[in-house]
Amino acid sequence: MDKNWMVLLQEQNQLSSLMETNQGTERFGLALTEEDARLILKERRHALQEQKRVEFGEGIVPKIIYEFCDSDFIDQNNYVDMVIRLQEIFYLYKNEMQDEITDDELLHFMKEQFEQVCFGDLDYLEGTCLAIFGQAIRAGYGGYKGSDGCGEYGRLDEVKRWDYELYLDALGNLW
Amino acid sequence: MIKSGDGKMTMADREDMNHKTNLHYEMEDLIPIVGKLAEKYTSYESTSITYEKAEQLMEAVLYCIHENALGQPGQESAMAVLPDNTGASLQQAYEAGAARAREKVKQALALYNEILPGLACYGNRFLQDIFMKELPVFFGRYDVDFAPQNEILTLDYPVLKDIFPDTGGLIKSMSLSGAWSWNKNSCAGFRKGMWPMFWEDMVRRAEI
Repeated sequence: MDKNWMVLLQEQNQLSSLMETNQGTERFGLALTEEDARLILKERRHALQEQKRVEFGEGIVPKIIYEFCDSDFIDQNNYVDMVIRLQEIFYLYKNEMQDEITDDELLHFMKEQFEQVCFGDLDYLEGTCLAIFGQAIRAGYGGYKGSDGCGEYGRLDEVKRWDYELYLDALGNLW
Repeated sequence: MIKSGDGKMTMADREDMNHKTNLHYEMEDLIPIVGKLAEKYTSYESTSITYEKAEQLMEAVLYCIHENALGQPGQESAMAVLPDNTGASLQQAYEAGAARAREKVKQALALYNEILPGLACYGNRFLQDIFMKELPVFFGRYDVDFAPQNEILTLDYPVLKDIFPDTGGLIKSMSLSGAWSWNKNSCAGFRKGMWPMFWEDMVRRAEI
């Protein structure tokens, strides 16, 4: 079937809704110019084509922005690059998780790991955290449905992480 | 409706139906309708779907619009009373067609339930399988909201000749891998037309 209608479907109301996000992100020192927004939308088209997905309505980018705008690891310098990479990762894992997970659940999971496990490293988020989570979902794991995607990685993580309380105790003992 | 292959509506099928129903619209007119259906499909919890799913939903919209436009014999279709094919009227046509598709399922199921208690298969395993196994599975799996176009019931029963030459445009043939389109008329057709064929087949087998 002719795919042109799919392009039309995903180009509705995108630019204006993206520019509107500035109202919510300015307090975190983040803002998009119209040129930035166009670049994000251009990359979004590529990502969707790559993943063979079609988007409708406002799309995922505003949601990504609102989810990640308070991150400790995103500032005005890397803002646009981060949004572009995050949307690529998002579409990739919607497919990898076979659409079993909702947008919000996936975004919550991504944000939590981005902050607490990856410390802003998107390669680690994509190649490790989401890969493990995706594998679990494909195998039938459904625990995220009750938690909205939050607090899930600890159950699946194969690596022993920092115990912050122990660390602070040890640090306190030193002084 | 008779369809070939995997039962999906192709662009050629659409053109053919457009011609038959005198419908003229552009694909972009359908975009808002598909968008709304996609939102409903994802329960407003996802902003994107795969190409495959988007195609399925577009086919569902096309099916319903044409279902409405074709109408029932002697009944004026909703499309006929609409002045043009603007987005609004196409939306109305889609909704009317979707309602018609749902009604068809209801009627077919009611007829199936009516036939079932008095059904005698006289040892014909194929007939028994159709009614006892294949039709219940079909009714259970048929998705009238998001895939009404997948209305094909494929039967394994070998037929020596065409017994339903375009009966109301609903049943064309039944062959080794032929497709029997279910709905009220085809169930009625089964009762009136297909049963004698089974009988004939049983006699022929007994003679052999």
